[in-house]
Amino acid sequence: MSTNPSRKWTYSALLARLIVGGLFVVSATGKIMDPGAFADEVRDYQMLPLAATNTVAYILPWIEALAGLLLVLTLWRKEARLIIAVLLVVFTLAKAWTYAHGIDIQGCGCSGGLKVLDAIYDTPQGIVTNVVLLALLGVDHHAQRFARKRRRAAMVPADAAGPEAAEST
Amino acid sequence: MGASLLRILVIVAIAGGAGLVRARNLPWVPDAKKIQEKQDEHSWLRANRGLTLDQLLEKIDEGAVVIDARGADAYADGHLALNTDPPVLNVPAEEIDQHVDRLMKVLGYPLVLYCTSNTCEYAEELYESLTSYGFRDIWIYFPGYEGIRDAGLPTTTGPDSWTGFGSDPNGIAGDENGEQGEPGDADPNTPDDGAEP
Repeated sequence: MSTNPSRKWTYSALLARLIVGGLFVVSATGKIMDPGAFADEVRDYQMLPLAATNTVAYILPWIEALAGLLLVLTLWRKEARLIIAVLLVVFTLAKAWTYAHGIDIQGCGCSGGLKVLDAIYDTPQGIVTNVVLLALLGVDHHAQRFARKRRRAAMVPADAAGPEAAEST
Repeated sequence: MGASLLRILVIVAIAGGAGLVRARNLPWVPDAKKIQEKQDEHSWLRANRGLTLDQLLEKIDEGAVVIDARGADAYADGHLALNTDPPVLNVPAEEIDQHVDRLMKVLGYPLVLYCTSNTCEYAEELYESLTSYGFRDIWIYFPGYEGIRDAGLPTTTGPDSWTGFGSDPNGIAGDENGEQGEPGDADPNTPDDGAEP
């Protein structure tokens, strides 16, 4: 039963979506609740023009929360996954930026003030966390493709798929 | 591909709208001058009023009064334990008005403030408020309670019940966690020479 590859991928992807989506929703909540504090943290990175920092701080957490929620609910799954992947890459580059420029970030602005999450987000382990989250998104991506392939294979009769496919089955 | 792009744009648009509503009373463009002043103040405090762990212990030995600037719940969950009178006081930065009577009893003593960690701003806010009440010899241990725990200093739990000298101190006696390394046993009745009454 557990060796069924389809089921294995389904459950792995579900777990991956719950972890990544859940983390994004929880982390975004604290930033949404206190946008002023998050704006200060965005400024600490010294990456953006000062004039843009507040706008980014007000909107970015909502994108995180929405994408995380959609991923958990498996709605617009591909798009939610893509947004989160891009955000993770941006966050990782931001961390690398602080290292490269010797900027001492007191709080990375990742967890929305939740102490429990600081341990996994703060540098340098934050970069590892981001890579793990990206890998989990990869699991979900693969599972979705796998399921799509199986659906297509189930819909196309063996003889309609050509002589090679018929032979191979 | 087109549909995906459209969906992404919809997500970003909804997020933008929600952010706009949520932050409708906040400025969209920060006040550069105000931010610079805040950063300058922060840098000044760190450079001139920040204490290392050794300096913190030294100040306690010299009779400084330690104040925890976090909220009452955080204080009750755990704070630095001192066998002194007063013990570590709890004066949440935003509630200083409710603690003025108690604070006036330690006017003239050097004060050491701490909050949660390096990122916490309560100690700095309390610093500002205390200066407006006439306190002058104020120091900040920026690593905060996290730094205290990491350094293995004794901690204790429970609320702050100190009302004045000689009142039942909420110090190390009673509910101490049993850690070693008690930092000092100062006599607070003899203020430090450096204190400015």
